[in-house]
Amino acid sequence: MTHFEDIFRKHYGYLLVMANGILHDPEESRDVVSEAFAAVWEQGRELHPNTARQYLAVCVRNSCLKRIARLQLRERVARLYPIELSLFATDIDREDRVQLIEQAIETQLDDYTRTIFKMCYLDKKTHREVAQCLGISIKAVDKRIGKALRILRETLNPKQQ
Amino acid sequence: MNDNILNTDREELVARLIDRPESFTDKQLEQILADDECRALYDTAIQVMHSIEPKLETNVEAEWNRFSMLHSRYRRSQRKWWKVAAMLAVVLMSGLAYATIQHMKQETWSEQKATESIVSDDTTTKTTENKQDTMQVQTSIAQPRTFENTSLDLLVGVLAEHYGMRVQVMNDEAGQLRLYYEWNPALSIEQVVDQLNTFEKVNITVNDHTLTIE
Repeated sequence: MTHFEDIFRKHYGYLLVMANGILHDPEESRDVVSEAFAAVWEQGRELHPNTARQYLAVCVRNSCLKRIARLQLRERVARLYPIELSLFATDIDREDRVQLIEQAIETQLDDYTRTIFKMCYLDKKTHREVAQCLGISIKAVDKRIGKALRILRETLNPKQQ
Repeated sequence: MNDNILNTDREELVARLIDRPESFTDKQLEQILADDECRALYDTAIQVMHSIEPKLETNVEAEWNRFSMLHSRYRRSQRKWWKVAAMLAVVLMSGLAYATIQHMKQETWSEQKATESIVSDDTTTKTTENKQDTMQVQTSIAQPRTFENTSLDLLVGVLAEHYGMRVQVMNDEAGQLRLYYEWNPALSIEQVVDQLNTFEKVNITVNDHTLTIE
């Protein structure tokens, strides 16, 4: 196995998850990660095993943000992309945040709000679909999701309150 | 819809914005996202999505195979061989040029000899030689060819020339895709296009003697 192949196999999965966390689009994420490896390959760049992951993560993140920057505001909102691209500037490593958010969802939201929140954000259902599923109004779903976002914001960014 | 969209409850507003952005005008979108509180809630939603995006099932082996096929896994180690191959090509070309000159001399000599004898024999000889030339050309074209890091539009251009077709590029971005592809000219254009279309983002159609990159 070559050095390059070793790095590819070791970091591909991590980079793909990271790209998908930003783009929410598995196919587009695959393209971005492949392009990052292709750039390294084409340039004949030798990556050090200790810094390869960080270097590639920065390349992938920048590539994702470039794609987002090309989109109009409406398209960014529709795909839940950041408006300020600096949002992800220091957020390469997401493990800690994942744990914090999962914990907040489980402990800070009441059962009913958590159920609705998970249907929207994990199952990717629209508010209309959730409303139909639970026999409630779309407005009621809007309110619950809004409330959940408020609680999560207060939990994740306590200093800003 | 209110004139001032921010008179609505902000939590509910952001939840609706994320779920149904089409229900807002461009001006309202800008107005909502310019509001600090709304923006903070929107950013929280992004943070949540960024973190809880379901894990993708990744087949690294398949991804590596795809990558190495597209980017010529062993190209760097083969650079020396390419130099040798290039030198061989120069030698072969020189040999070919020499053979062509000899062939032309021979042809001239044959014509002269034939003129001296019988005219109809000369015609037969030339026809036969022409056929042989054609055969030689076809043989040389029919060799498989490897395209490395070649843009799709260039590759399709070569194919079009070989198969006597036109090229139409409907998607410039796709035309700039760079591929590694081993072309076997013995295959029909339809078979070649089928192979190329297995590449991600490549969609070529064959219609009315035209290859279209879509």
